[in-house]
Amino acid sequence: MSQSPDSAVTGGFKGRFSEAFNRTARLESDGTLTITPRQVYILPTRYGLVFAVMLFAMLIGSHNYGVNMGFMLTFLLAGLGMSALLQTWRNLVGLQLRVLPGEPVHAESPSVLSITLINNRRTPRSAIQVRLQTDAAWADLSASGSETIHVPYQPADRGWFSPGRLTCYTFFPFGLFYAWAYFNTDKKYLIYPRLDDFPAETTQRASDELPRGRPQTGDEDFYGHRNYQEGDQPNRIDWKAFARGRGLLAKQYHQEHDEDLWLEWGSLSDYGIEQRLSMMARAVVEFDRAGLRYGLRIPGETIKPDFGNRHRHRCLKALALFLET
Amino acid sequence: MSRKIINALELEPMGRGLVISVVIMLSLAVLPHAQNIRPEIVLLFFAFASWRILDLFVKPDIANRWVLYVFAAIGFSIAAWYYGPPVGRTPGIAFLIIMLGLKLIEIKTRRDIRVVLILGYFTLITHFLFNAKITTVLPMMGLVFGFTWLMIQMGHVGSKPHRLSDIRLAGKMFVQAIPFAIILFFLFPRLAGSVWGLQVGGPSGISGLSDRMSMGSISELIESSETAFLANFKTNAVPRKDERYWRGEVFWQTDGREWKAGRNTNPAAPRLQSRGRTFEYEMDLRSRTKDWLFALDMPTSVPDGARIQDDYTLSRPKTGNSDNRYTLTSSSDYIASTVSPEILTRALQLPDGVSTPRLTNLVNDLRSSSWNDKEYVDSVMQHFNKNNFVYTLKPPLLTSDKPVDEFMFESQRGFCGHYASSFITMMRMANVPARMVIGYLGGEYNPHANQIVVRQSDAHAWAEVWLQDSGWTRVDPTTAIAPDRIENPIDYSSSANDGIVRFDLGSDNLIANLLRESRWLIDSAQLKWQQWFINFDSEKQRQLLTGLGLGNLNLSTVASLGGLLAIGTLVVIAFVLFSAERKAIDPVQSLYYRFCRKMAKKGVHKNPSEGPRDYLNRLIETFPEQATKIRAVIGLYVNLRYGKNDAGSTRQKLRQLSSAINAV
Repeated sequence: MSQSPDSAVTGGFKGRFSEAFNRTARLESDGTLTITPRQVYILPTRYGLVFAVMLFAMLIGSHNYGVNMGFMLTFLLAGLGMSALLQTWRNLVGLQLRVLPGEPVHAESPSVLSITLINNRRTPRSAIQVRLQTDAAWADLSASGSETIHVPYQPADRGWFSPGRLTCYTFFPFGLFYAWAYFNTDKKYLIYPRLDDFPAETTQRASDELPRGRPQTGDEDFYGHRNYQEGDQPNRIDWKAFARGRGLLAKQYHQEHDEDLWLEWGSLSDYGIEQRLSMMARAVVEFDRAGLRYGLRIPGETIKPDFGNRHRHRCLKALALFLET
Repeated sequence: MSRKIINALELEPMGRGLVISVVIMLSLAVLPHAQNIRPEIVLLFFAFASWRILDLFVKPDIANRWVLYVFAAIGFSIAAWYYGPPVGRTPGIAFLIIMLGLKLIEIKTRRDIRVVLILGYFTLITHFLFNAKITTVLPMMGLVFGFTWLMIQMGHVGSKPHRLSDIRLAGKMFVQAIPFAIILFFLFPRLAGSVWGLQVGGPSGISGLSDRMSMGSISELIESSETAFLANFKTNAVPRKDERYWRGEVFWQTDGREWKAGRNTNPAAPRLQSRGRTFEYEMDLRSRTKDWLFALDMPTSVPDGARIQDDYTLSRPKTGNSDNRYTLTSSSDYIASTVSPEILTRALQLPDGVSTPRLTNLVNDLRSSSWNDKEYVDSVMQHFNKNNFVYTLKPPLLTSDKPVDEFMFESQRGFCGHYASSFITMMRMANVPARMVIGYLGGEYNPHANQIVVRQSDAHAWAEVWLQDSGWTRVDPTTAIAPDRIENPIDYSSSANDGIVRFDLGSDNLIANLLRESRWLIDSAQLKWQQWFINFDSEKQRQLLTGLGLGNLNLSTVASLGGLLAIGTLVVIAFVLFSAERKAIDPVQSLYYRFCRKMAKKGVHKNPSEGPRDYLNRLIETFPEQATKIRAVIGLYVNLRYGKNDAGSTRQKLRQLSSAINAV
C-alpha cells in the first residue's frame, strides 16, 4: 500500500491546511486508484461566473418589474446551477484509474503516459481529462465502460522518470464548474539518454568519430580518436578534423580483428558525461539498426557484445542509469 | 490549471447537428416576442439564424468577419430606427434579440455555444415581462429543459453523441433543481417597492383608480397584480365573497363617454339604517394617490380625521405616508336613504344626444313592460343576460360619439365599466335615479391573518339606483353577464388571446353543467396558480411565514432562513448522492474486501501491499482443503478486475463471486 506523502502530514494548522488543499487519491494494492468524494475539488469556471452575474441581473429585473415568474425562472436556473455543481463533482467521484507501464523512450522525444479510466457506474461519465504538467488527454466514458487515454509528455532527463502528481479534471456537464482530483502513481518510466541534441557540426563529427558498421579502410577497425602524439604516422592523422579546426587528432583502430564492436567510454574523453552517453546511445541505436554485434564498456559496467532488442535495451538502460542511484 | 489545455477544449469546433439544434432552440425562445415587440426585429433574427444554417451547407465560408459587421450595422440601425436607444423594456429586448442573432452567426466552438446558451436562458425571462400566463410559463419551462439538454451535450469531448442519456441527466438535474427553486421562491425575501429606486414601467406601473372613468379605463388596472389595500378584521365576522364591494368614489356626472364625480363639496351626514351584520376592521392602503378612503359597503362610522359625504364616500386629505391606515365599521345589510331633490336631479343628469332612436325604443319597451322601477332594473339586467353580451377584458374601442349606443347594439363586448355606464344611462333615460360607484370587488381572504387582500386587478365599477322602498340599492350589471365575477377575482393571465370569457347562463342541460363544472375546476386551478405564484409578494410572504409561525421574524432572518434552507437542500441532495456513491463505488472491490474480512476471521490477514495471487498462495497453504473454492474466488476477482467484461457478463460474474465467497 503506497501512501501519498500528503496524507502523511499530521498536526498543526499548517499541516491541516496543506492537507485540505492537497488531498490525493490513494494507490491500492492492485495498482488502481479510486477517487473518493473528499478528494474532489471544485470551483466555478469563467462561464460559471458569467452565469452567476446573469442570475443576479435576472433577480434585480424580476424585482423591479414585479414579475414572479421571473423569480421562479431565476431560482430554477440557480437550482440547475447547484445541480450542475453536484453533477460535476459526481462525475469524478468513484472514478477508477490505472496508470499503465510504458515503453522506454529517449529523453526529449515525445512520449505518452497511458492511463486506463474505469467507470463502474451505470451512467456515463463524460469529459474526463488527465493532466500531466501542461499536457492532457481526455475521453468520454460510457456506462460501466473503460477507456485508455494517452497523455503526451516529453521527458527532459535520462534515468527513471516519475510522473509525480497527476490531475484528473472535468467540467461536465455544464461547463459552469470544474472539478479536479490529484493522484500519484508509483510507476516509473525508464528514459534512455537523448539522441539528437547535437548541433549540426557536432553531429557530423560524431558520425565521423563513431564507428559505423564494418571498417572502411584497411583491415583494422576504426575505433576513435586520441590527441596527436609525436611519432604518429601522417596517414593516421584525421585531416578532416584538422580542417575543422579541432587540432591534430590521430585515428585509433581496434587491434582485435574479431567481428565484435566495442563502445568504449574512454574513447570519448573530450566530451562531457551527458554528451558521451548521448553519443553512445546513438551508436547503440544505429548499430542495432544495422544489425551488428556490439558491446559496451562504461565505468562500472561491461556488457559483452551481442545483438537484438533485449541487448539494445540492456545497453541503453545501462547508459540511462549511469551514475544514477 | 493550464490555460492552454482549457483553450484546446473551449476552442474545439462543435458538430453540425449541435449547431442546428442550438439555432432552432434559440429561435423557439425568440419567436413569442413577435407579439411583444416589432415583428420586423424578430424577422431579422430569423434571417440571421437562417444565414447560420445556410452557412453550414455552403462550401465557401459565408460567415466571415465582414459579413458580421454588415449584419451588425443593419441590425442595430433597424432596432434604433424603431426604438431609439436601448433604454427600457421593449427597446432593451429588441436590442437583445438583434445581439443574439448576430452572435448566432458566428457560433462555432464550444465556447461560442456556451455563451449563446447562457444568453438563451436569459432571453426566456424577458417573456415574463409581458405576461405570466400558464400557457407562456409551460413552454418556457420546456425551453429551459431544451437549453439544459444542449448544455449537457456540449459537455462531451468525444465525437459520439449521447442524446438519450443527456435527456435523462437533464431530467435528473431538473428534479434536483425544483425543490431548490420552490424553497427560494417562497423564502427569498421579497421587498416591497423597487431596488435602487429603479422604476422601469412594466405591469406594476399603475398606482390606483383614476378620478375619471371612461369606458375601458379600468382594463389597465385589471392587469396589475399589485396590492391595493389590506383589510384586517377585528373579529371573526368577515364579509362573504359577494359582499366584498369596496366603495371608493361615486361618479354622478357624464358627458356620454366619460364619468366623473362632479359633486359640489357639501358634506352632509348621510342617513343609514343598519340591519344586522356589521364588521369592524382596519384598512391599510398600499398606494394612495387620492384623498379617497376605501370602505366596505356601507361605512357606518367615520375614521379619525376623515369626512363622509352624502353619497357614503369617505375622504381624508393626504398628509404623508403615515395616514394610510384607518379603522372603521361597515354594515353589509342596510338601507341607505339619503335623498334630496338636488341629489335626485344630479342622479338623473344626462348629456344631450346620448340617446339614439333605437336606444330610446329599447328603454321605452323595457320600461313599459315593467310595473315599477325595480322590475325595470330586472328587465334591463335580463336584457344583458339574454342577448349576446360578452364579458371581455379586451373590448373593441368604441369609436362613435355615442358609445353607449354603439356598445348596446353593435360591439356588445366589454367589462364592468361598459356595463355600468350603459346600465346607468338606461336608468336615467327611464327617469330612475342612478349613479356609478367605483372601487374594488372581492379580495382574497387569508384565514391565518384574518385579513382580506385586495389587488388593483380587483378594480370594479357598479351602479346604485334609487328605489322607493329600499333607498340606494346596489346593482352590479356585470353580474348579469358574468356571475362568477363576484366569486373570483379576474384572472387576467388566464384569459385567452382575444380576452373573451363566454358565459351561458340560460342552459341547464347536463353537458352545459359539466362544462361549467370543469370550467370552475380550471378556474380554481388558475386561481391557485394566480394566488400562489403570479401574485406572490412581500405581503403573501409575510402571510405564509405567519402561517408557519414565523410571523414576527424580520427580513434578514427570513433571508438567512431561506439561504440556510436552500443550502440545506443542496446538502441533502449531496448526501443522497454521496451515500449512493459509497454503495456503488466498486462492487468488485467491496466483495473482495468481504472475502478478505472472512479470511481474516479465520486467521489469515491480507497484508496491505499483498496482491491477490500472493494472498491466494498463502491461503491455499493454510487451508489446502478449501483450495478449489478459494481459487474460484480469486479467479473471478482477478477476471472482474483485470479482464474484459461487458455490463452483462460483469453482473453475472459478480453474482458468481458473491456466491463463491459464501461457499468458502
